[in-house]
Amino acid sequence: MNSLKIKNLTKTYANGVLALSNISLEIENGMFGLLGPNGAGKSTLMKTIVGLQQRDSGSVLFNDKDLIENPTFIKKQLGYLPQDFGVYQNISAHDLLNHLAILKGLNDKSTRKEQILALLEKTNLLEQKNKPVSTYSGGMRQRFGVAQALLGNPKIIIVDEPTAGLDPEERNRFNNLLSEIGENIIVILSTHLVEDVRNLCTQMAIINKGQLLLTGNPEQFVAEINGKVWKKHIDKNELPEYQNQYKIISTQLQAGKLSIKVFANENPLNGFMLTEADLEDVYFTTLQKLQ
Amino acid sequence: MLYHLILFEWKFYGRKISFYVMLLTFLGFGILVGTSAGVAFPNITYNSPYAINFILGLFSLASLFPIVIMASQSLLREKDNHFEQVLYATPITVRNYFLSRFLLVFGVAVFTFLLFLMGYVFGHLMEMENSENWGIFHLNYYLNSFLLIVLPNIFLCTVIVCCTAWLSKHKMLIYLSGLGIYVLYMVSSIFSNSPLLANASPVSDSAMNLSARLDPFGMAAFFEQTRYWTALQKNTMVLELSGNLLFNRIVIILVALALLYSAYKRCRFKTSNKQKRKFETIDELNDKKYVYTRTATKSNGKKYFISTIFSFLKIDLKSTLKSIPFVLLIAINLFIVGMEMYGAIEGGIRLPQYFATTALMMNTILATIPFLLLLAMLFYGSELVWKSKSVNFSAIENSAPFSNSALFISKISVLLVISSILIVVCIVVGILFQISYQYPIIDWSTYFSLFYFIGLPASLCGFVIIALQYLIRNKYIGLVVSAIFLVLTNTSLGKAFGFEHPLSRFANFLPDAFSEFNGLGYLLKAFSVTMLYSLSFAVLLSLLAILFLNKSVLKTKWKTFAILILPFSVMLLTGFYIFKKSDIASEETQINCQQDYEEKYKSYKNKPQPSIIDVKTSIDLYPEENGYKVQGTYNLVNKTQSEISEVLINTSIDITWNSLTSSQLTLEKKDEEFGQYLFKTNQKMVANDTISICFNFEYKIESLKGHQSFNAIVENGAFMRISNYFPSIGYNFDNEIEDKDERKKRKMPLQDGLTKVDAPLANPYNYEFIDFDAIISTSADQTAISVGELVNNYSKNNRNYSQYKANTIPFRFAVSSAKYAIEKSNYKDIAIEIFYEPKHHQNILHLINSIKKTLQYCETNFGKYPYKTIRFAEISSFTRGFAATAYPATIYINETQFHLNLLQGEGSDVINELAGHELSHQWWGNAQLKPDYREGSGVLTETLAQYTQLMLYKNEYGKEKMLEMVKLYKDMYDSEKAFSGEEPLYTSKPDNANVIYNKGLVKMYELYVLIGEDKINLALKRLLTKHTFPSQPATTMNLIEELKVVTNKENHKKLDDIFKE
Repeated sequence: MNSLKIKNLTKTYANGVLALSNISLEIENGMFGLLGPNGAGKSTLMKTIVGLQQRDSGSVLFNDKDLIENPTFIKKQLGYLPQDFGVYQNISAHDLLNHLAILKGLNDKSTRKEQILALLEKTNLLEQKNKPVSTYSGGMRQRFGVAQALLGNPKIIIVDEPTAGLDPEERNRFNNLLSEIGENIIVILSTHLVEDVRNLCTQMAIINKGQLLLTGNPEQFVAEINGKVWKKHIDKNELPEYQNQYKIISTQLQAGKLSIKVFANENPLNGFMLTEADLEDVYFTTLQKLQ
Repeated sequence: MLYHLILFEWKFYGRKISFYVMLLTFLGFGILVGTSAGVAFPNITYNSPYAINFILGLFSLASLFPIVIMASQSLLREKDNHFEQVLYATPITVRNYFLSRFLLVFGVAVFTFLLFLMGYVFGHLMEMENSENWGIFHLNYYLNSFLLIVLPNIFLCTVIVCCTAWLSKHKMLIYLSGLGIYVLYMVSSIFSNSPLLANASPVSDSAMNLSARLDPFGMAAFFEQTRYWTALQKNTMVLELSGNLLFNRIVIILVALALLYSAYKRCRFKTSNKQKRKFETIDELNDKKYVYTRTATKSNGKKYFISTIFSFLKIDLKSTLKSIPFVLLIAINLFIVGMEMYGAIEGGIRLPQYFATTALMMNTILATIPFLLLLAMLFYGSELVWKSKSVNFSAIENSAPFSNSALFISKISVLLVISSILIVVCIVVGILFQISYQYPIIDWSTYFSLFYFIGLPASLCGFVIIALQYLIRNKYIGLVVSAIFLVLTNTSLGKAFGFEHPLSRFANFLPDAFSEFNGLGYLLKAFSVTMLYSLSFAVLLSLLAILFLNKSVLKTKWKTFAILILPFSVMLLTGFYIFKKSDIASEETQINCQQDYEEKYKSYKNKPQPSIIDVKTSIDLYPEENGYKVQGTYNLVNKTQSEISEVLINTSIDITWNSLTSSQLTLEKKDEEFGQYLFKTNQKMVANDTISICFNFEYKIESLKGHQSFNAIVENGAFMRISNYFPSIGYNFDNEIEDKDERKKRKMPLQDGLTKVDAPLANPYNYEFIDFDAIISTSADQTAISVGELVNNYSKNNRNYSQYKANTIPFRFAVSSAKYAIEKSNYKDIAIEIFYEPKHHQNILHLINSIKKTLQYCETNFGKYPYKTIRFAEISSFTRGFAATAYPATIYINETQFHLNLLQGEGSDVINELAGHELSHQWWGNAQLKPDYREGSGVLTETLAQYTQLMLYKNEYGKEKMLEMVKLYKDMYDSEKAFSGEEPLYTSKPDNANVIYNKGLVKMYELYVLIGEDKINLALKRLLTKHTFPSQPATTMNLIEELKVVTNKENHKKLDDIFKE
């Protein structure tokens, strides 16, 4: 069993933005979803774990080793896919994977080759393996990013918005791949797509503005608010009025009419219908601190 | 809109510290150049329009730095930041976008140059003093050259760089376009025979005209316009916008505008969406099913370390070598080396072709490639370090556990490979030239040594560039800092700024001093020592950089710093060694010393002193050890009518003196600082009394100090004008400070003027001639050549001994030693002997032939040759400063002027010229016509030798060829006269080479046209008969008198004009 313990992690950027504020988390094997809107601090948290960024205070322990003191310890067993990346000119996917595989310590030539080809196949890049990655389309490049994150023998995989730019089919494939390998290792999936977390993760956390808002089991969270989410179709003009009166979780346009969801322990009456709570409701409730 | 765009750009740069650093650098640079006065042209003031044009034109090229930096930062910013599509969707018009960026780059370049100019003017104002080196300050001199030369140049450079950026969208190509402009500049300098290049040889009028029109930087037009200007004109007249300069400037601006317009037309807002290539065919691997399993890794240990180095190396090389910029770099390299080699072989119209020897190729490579390599190291060094980050791949790469040292080593290895490839290209070009010029004797080990002599220093520079990048952590500041570091410590420019001491030099390339006689000789040792010093510095800096790369450096255990001890102690040790062995006095110290000497010993100037009449010496040469030992005895006689009770002997302080004694003298005072020995005579010397003194000294070249040009005791082909190092008697005028300004600055009285042409002579005149008797020994496989007649020759104790004797010769003798091949012949009863390097056999017969013709001509027309033998001895190029030099019965030729391919190329027959000129010095100069040092005395030796050379050339090749030669010398004279001054021949200063050689030849030709060869020769013969030693020496007045005797009265006026205008 691998473990990642984050204790009181704090980071303020030079321009004064508080990116991480006293965050503590414990993560074990399995898929861990990190949810939060853009700019919440997800990428900062991931970069800090990976060691690409310095923290101001707090500690990160992987398998009980302090990563501040041993920055390479996690790198030896890590797969990382940053949110946005580029590649060298003129280097093919195969050569680049080979390079990264060597950097990760895959010293044996034949097993290295075997794994690279397997990954290329899994990411559907085998046919284009000799083309420079710099000529790839966005989706292909993202798949390459996924392939490289799986190189070697990662005990922890950190992927930052991995499905951005993938089409639905590619996204599915990728999610399957992740859950397949996520059983015996830690996989941290940072995303703003609630759906991915619901489908894949056994544990999750929601952060916003550098603060940890919630952490635990997604299903449990859904169960907790079930029976407290109410829905109604209203006219667009009525929205301000409702906003004053109710704790609105989310609004959604449906065929020109506005469908609103509100959080309430009791039936708010006034035409509201009880509706099945889902993780998205948990997410918005948490973000807006309605509970 | 345009205004807002520019304002926005300004906001972007206004916040960058590096931008201000660049501006300050230019201002400071201007002040430095201004205060260091820059290039000194004789007779031209530092703030004359000519000097200002020269400096500003030269430094207008420095604008390339801001242009390239600005272009690479601002023109491709949208592409770099993936902002293209957003920008292109905005309503900004192409014209505004295009113009704002161009104006920004151009504006910043102009602004930085104005800062440089401000600094330059300021520096001038600070340094200006009331001396003849400074004229009156005129701001319009500066503005004129700024407007005519600099501004169009900056415009052109900006257009070229910006168009490259827009059309290629490639950063490296921007750098290369800057480099390309530099190359263009060098090429146009070659064609315009720019004085910027050393050893430029004269070019024809039509070539000058053409290059004046086409040189994109206007320098050729500048040189062409001012070519024949007098010093006064150069000091006061600004460039006139007319003729070729006007044509040139208009064409340049039009071409630039056209380029800009076409780039603008092509520059539509398009994202760089390259056409996708077709997918390659699926290979057979596809049929197999692969199963992904997680695979164990091992990311520590040696094997992992090494494999990561190689992996980085492979990736960097793949992405670098395949790129267009690298191909272009190779092309530029090919072009420069090719041009230079062609130039080196062809040698201009003055000289025939050189043989395409490996040595010539090697020297050409050594002289041209280091600078290009440095630039390549600078650019690739800073690119490589930031590549991963700039393409945004670093987040992925850095999540792997590789060590920073591996990364560092791999980056340095890439630079090593790049420099090696460039060197290989040079070698291949060299070999191709050797083969195509049919000199296929390829010296492989010499070629391979280039990897050591060029590759090593280049790599060391690479070490420092990369280390600085990692330490500074900002690409552009790192680039500027390493560029400044290299300019100061590695280029000759740095020496001008005071980085002269060997300890302040870093990884200097080997000088282009490869000789076919003795290869690199002792330079190899000096090079290796300085390389060890530089290497330890580079390693120290690199280790520091690696340590700081691990950001937790403050927590690093002190033990880790222990690895710094080794390079640090090596640096200390070698540094200490260099410091001890190279105590080279600065120029200032030397001049101080000269002043002290003069003030201390001037009182001896008019004291009667005895004359040396007899020199007996044994000289033991040890070429392999770069040393020699000398024992000698002088006989001195009091030729004055006064009594002498004090004898002042001065000795060279560069030599180790073992003893200097005399039984008739008592040492009164020994002044080590100036090498002065003051003796009291035991008995007063009355007229014709003699005394003798014995001395013993030795010398060894200290490889780090180098050797004086006339004291080159090298391994093979050694040459020493050894009389310079023998003791001399009395006050030594040569030690005085000659520079008038320097004397003024030090409040010293002016030097005694040159003796007037009509000043009376002592009668009888004391020639100070000596009888010379020397036994010279050298290594068993070498032959030593000295002056006079060889009287004995034997081997003893595995050494070769030769005894040379010469009676009544000037106190000026030399020795050479080499593994000579010998060719003998004779003219009548005169033995002709040629001593040469066996590989240089090609011109021997021709030389002998020319010697015979010269002997015949001179004996027929002027008188008998005074010795039984005439010998020519070739010497190594480690001696510089003359093509050939004549001593009694012996003439030494430098190998660079001897190993020429006379059959090829457009140059004249220099062997014929050389034999004619030097051999005739046996009549004009040396022991026959030996004028005292006064106005016009140079005419009686050099001009007459030039005349003899011209006549012999005419006899060999006809009148038409003679006219070509006259034209050549006239051109040389005209283009140098502003610097040398236009003296009339008869009162010319003896050291004014331009007048006594170039003008002399032209005037002697006029004389030839006026009265004919026969009459001239008749007059010369009469002059010689009357004034040859021991008769009273001649003056130019005597020469004119004798010429008048043979000339019709009506031509006397013209004859006077020839010598007196």
